[in-house]
Amino acid sequence: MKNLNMKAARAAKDYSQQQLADIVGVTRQTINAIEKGDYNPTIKLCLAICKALDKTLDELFWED
Amino acid sequence: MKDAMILAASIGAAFMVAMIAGISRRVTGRQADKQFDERQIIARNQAYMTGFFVTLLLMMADVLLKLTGKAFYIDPLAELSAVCIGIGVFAILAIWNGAFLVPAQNPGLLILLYGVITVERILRFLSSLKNGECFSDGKLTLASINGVLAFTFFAILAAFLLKQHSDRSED
Repeated sequence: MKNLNMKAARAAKDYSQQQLADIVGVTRQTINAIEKGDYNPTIKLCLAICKALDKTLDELFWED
Repeated sequence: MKDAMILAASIGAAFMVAMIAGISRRVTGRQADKQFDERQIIARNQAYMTGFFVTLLLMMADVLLKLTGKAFYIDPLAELSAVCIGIGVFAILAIWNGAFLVPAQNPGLLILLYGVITVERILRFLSSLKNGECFSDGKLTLASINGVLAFTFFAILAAFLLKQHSDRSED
């Protein structure tokens, strides 16, 4: 399932996938795969993304 | 004797490629503290596994051909080709899954390096063909390994360029 919350949060911060990838220390393809729902990140990477986007884990990765 | 010389030259060429790759890593800015990310490690593991099984299958095919007396090549062409193709499959899968370069590594010089190696191997293969070194008694000789190497490096280069094109259209 696509992670639209993360995509929206990234867009709100005006970050490109590459910029976010550089901040959290992964490749652009990894950020793309997470947003497309092709890859489930570890909790370590989830936390790094949350910190970079100033969001909580629930806001980015919780599905109702 | 000639085959032994070709084998020695191939090992020398492989050593040279490894040295050039090491230098290019330094030039392209790959640093010791930069490592593959978690998704890349998983993708590389899968690519290793596929490459390994491809090598295994090719070696089994080699054994079968020898057992049935239908081998159309002289040893150790098949074994070297199987390893070469297995490594090629790993590299192509890793490139296609974005798991060949560490984060923020510039692929420019690496593409140039693979381009030079591909052209050099194609020329060497064509020269071997022209001089009739690729066949002996109706069987492929070790000199044909240049064809396999040229094909493998060309496939890796093509995967690199296609992936770059695909990434650009994705952005």
